[in-house]
Amino acid sequence: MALLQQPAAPWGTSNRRRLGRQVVQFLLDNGLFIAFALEIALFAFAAPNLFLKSRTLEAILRLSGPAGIVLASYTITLISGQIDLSTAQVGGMASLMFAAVFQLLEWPLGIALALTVVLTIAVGLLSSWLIQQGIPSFVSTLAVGVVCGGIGFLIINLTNQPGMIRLVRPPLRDIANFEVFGVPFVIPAMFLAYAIGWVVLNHTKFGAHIYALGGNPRAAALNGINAVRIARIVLVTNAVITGLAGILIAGRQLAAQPGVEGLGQSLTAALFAGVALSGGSGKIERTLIGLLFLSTLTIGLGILNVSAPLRQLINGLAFVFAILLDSIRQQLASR
Amino acid sequence: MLERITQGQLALSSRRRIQLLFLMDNGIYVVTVLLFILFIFAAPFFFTPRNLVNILISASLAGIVTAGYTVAILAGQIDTSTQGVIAIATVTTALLFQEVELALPLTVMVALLAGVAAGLFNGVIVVNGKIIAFVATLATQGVLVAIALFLTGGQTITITRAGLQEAVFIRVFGIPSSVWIMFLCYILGWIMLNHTKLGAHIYATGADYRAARLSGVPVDRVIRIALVISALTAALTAILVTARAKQSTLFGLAIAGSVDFVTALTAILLGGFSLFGGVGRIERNLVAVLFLTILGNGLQLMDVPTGIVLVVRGFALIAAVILSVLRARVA
Repeated sequence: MALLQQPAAPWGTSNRRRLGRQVVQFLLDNGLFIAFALEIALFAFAAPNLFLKSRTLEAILRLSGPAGIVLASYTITLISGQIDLSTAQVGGMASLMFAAVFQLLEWPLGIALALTVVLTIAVGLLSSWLIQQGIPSFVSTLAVGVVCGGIGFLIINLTNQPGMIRLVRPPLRDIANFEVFGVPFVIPAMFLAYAIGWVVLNHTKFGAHIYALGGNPRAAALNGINAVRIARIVLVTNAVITGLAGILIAGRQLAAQPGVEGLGQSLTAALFAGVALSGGSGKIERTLIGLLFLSTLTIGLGILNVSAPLRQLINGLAFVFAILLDSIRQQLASR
Repeated sequence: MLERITQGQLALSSRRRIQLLFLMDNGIYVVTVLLFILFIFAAPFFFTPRNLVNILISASLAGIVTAGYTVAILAGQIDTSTQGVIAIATVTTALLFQEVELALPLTVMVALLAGVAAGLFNGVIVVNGKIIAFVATLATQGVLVAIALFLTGGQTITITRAGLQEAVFIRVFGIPSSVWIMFLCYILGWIMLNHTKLGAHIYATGADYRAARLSGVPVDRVIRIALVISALTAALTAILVTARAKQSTLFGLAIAGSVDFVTALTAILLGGFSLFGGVGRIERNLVAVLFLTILGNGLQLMDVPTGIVLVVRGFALIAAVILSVLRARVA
């Protein structure tokens, strides 16, 4: 390759090119913060008396709470080189299972929770077993997601409910809306999830193994890192946390449904924040900004009375943009 | 992400290996026949002329989408935007035919063009954006469904104007036209894959992208063509589905036997294709499609809850994926 390189360009152009690349790199690294600031400014400009309210901030944080708890573990999953496409279905299934046991059978809260956790552990084990057989994670989790969606539907069929299970039995409602110092507890819980994720990724051997495995699976395997074990731990954790978040969302909405709204944006948020789709790189704390960006978008568009299909279109385009961003980042990194 | 935790070849004697491969290749015929016989006894109204025609139509719809999907899989591209293409094509058909009152040939043409446009868009982000097809098309899927919702405002358009169903579902020699269209698709696909340069290029690209590119195969163009073919057949299916249902189809809920990429992927893997491209024969998919349609139809006639049908569908996909991986390890 070295022989094919062009002779050195005159000083001015190469300097300018280097500057151009630095600008692009700077934008890729910090563009999210700029975009977030611009977004807030835009909404504040468009609807000053509706958007700039403490209520809006609370709504954004409330929306981000359960999704953020999931995103913390989802980011770790992505970094380890696995992609989980079953999030919405697992969350829905878990909330329906919980609602059926807790609301309809009126069993104690602890048992209902334990049953749901066991179910989600089984889901994570199934996904990781399929991956162990040599099936790429996106296909495994997609298939498992189809099964989970079916189980969710089955629960509704078997209990003869009209499309959803109402969830109004007292203790859960209070727990989902429990407040600490006037703040809904999902918000501190989300920060706690991020703190745990940060410590695991940056200050434990397990975290180092996750980065190594995602960055170069073959090299990691040669260095004695047990890929199967890591995939299993990561996917089971992700399934359990997704299930619990599904219950939290259902508890807030007072109903459990097959597809959970608000859990589908994990991938977009993570990619915005610079987590590589192919694994091995990314900072967990940044994904929080990615999530806040998307939540603000949802709430802001709602305030501006944008119709639902158009909002869905904007979210879809955000995903397209996120994967393009990831592609640009990979190409710059490999250059 | 695409890095597999690979496992080596299974330790088997060569005779055993040949037996196992024979079983995997031909097991689907036996299972389909057994399932058919089972449903004759277990499901009421299954073995009636009317239901058999029904199965044939459903199978032909799923078959058409699978034919195009096969080409994409062979080129190594897993296309997940099928549902989105169907959504946009069904809405285009219903809107143009019902609201704009366009002539039928023109309506069909525009709906197919919408499919081609979606396929080209897929091609642009896969090839120019250098993004793995599975993720790129997942993104397109979201955008396409949203555009479809946007065009209709989330409403289902009922077609009251006469002419669509009658024209599309004419019976030729007593068999609905969609079945003939399906056979035509498979014949064209078979000729293209086995007897043209493009077919050879598609196999080569799927088998080993880098080797194909180094030996002068225009890989980018091949991938674009494969994605367009996949989207085109999805649009064709959407027109037929719309004509059959006399309304723009629902794109939220997926039911077994309905046409979407889960059915197509399951059928293709059951038909002996590799998830990673390059291996497989298109004609085998016909049996797999028939198998899945019979399964969905029989379960529905037995009045099994929708949930169970969906779970069965998921496990069928899991079984198909495991089978395809196992096949790779045996061969």
